[in-house]
Amino acid sequence: MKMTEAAPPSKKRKSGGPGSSEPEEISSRELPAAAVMEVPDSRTQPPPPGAEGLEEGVDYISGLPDAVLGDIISLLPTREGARTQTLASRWRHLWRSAPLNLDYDDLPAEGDVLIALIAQILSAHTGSGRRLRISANHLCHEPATVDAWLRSPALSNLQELEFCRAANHPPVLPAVAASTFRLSSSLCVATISQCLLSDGIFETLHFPQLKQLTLEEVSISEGSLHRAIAGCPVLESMLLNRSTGFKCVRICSPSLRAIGVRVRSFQRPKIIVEDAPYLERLLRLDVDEGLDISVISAPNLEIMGCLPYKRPIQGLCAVFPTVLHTIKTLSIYVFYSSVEMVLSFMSCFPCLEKLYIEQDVSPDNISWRRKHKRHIRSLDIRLKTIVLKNYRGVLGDVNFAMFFVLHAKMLELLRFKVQGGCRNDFIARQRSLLQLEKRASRDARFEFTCDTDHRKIEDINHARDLSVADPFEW
Amino acid sequence: MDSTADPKGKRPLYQEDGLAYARAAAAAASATAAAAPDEEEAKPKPKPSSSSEEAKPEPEAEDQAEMPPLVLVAEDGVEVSISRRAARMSHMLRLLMEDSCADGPIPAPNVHSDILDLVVQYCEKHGPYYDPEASERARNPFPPFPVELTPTVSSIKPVTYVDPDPHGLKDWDKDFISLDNSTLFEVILAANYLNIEDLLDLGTTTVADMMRGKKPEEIREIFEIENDYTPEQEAELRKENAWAFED
Repeated sequence: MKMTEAAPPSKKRKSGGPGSSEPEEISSRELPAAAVMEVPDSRTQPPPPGAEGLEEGVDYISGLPDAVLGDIISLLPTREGARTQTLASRWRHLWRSAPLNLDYDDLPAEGDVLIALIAQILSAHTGSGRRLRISANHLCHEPATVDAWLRSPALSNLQELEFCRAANHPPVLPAVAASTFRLSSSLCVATISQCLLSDGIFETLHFPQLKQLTLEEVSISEGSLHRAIAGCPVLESMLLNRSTGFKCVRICSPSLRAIGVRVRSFQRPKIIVEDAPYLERLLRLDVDEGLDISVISAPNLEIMGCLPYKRPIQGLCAVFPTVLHTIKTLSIYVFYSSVEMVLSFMSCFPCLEKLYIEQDVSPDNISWRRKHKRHIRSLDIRLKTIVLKNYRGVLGDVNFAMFFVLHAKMLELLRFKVQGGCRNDFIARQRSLLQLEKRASRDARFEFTCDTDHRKIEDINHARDLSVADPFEW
Repeated sequence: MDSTADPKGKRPLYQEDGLAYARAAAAAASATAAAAPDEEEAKPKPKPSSSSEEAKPEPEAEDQAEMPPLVLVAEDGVEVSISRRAARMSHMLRLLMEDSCADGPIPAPNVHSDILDLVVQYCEKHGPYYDPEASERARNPFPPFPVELTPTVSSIKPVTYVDPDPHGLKDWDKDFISLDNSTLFEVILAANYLNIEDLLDLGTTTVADMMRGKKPEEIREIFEIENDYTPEQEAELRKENAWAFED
């Protein structure tokens, strides 16, 4: 695909090579002139007579080979890609032969007109497919048409296939045929929504290149889910978004690095990480609903959250007997913050470095000094970053935060995400209340930000979002 | 700290510190490597961007690091040398090295030496962190446009923020690829010729970013593309693809 095809000589190419305007780079040794080979250079052609006297710039982009331009065009949204045909005659055929990015959302049509338009684009396209994004409704209402599309040569070698969630989808999930996944050998990214994946489908299906998988509101049995995961040898990110049909998800994957789960309100599936040597992130995407997590073997698991902590303290370590030392980042959701709670987490995850705490209400102003007087000297809080969400600045909040100010010796950043706005007088008052001059970590930074400054873990909707640098604030 | 599994061959989801791993491996290997020439001495000239203090070979590239650098010959006859580890980023050079055909000067006939310098600069910067096995492009060309959130931050003391891109490659890439059009496209052509996927990706993504959201007239202006359609031809094209021009 990356052949350097001979570019047609562009009319506006000036003679003489480039580099005359470049600043002097590092000095290079020069060969004696005799050793230089004569290489025919299309750029030394004199400009045609008609172009003389034109002081305009040079069109370098049209000199790129077709394959490279096709790559660039395939990065554009569908309509913009098609518009490149009108740039110049050199570009006429490029969009049609470049890998196709067809997103139904980007087409200005609906219903039958949209379906006809998609068919028209596919039939006129001579290149392969890069990405197809259509609605789950298409699969539901026009399965034969969708099948015809997927058989089109314009989608050969398709890399991304998305049946995205439709708001007005009928409640009964249609069963999909195995032929819907005829392009399984080339797919790298797949999103399947609002359908029933029956048991036979994954018995023979393999996705040798699939890296990102999103199952959104699908119904799939436990066995099928495990077979699906097993059939994806290079799967890196998987998102189970409100899918049903299974009570327990057993993760056995030699390649999986991030998994995200969002459940429906009446569900409470179990997630058992049996064997995931590369798993780094285990993310729960809703803060409210319960989820049973059990980790048996995940030696690289570093980021976990958001865990609702509404159980008694004793229950926590029983749930995570083996995952003690690798977890570095944890996000928890509590009714209200409490020092005992944090201490219990620290004892289960002793290497924790970054902690996000989101609370429903602010705690009562109960002093922790009396309770932990005996232990305070020996406390070794190694947290480096703490983010307190829904911080209101009332005395209970201040008291809780002060615990870290005074005892977290390795603290680098303590961020307060303030509900509503945070005005300067509020911040100034907080600074004095928190007794920051007595902080245990001299280099610590204390920041006040608004709750709305970042996207949250609840905003993750696609498997690719699971691997953003910070899934809790991105 | 605790890395019981060896993530060799897998690129982490976000950049992790491969230096510590490489250094540890080099320390273990230096005990056995006796009179092997240092990689720094083997280079004929110092490069400002060359990460000489990071020039610890990865275990599997140890042999390569001890061998002399490759010599590329630009179209103007100037020789540009590139360390073996950096050269791995070029599929073409990698094959030459594997076939042991990389000992003599390697011609890069359509690439000017200034452009070749830039390309080598990129490879030397990215070389230490490059893993050919994980190089299969994890394309993600259609991320949602970033939401412009302006955080209101009040901090007591600015301290260097630990960012998820510990080697600063993203920012370096951004600076690197801020080139004028002529240089940018020459770099893309060179990356295409030498088959350096990462650099080609960087270039094509940059160009696509420049084109995205613009009308054809604007794109023509940015890239100095001459519209050689007759008005009738252009109208015909627009009619054929009317759906693409509806707003």
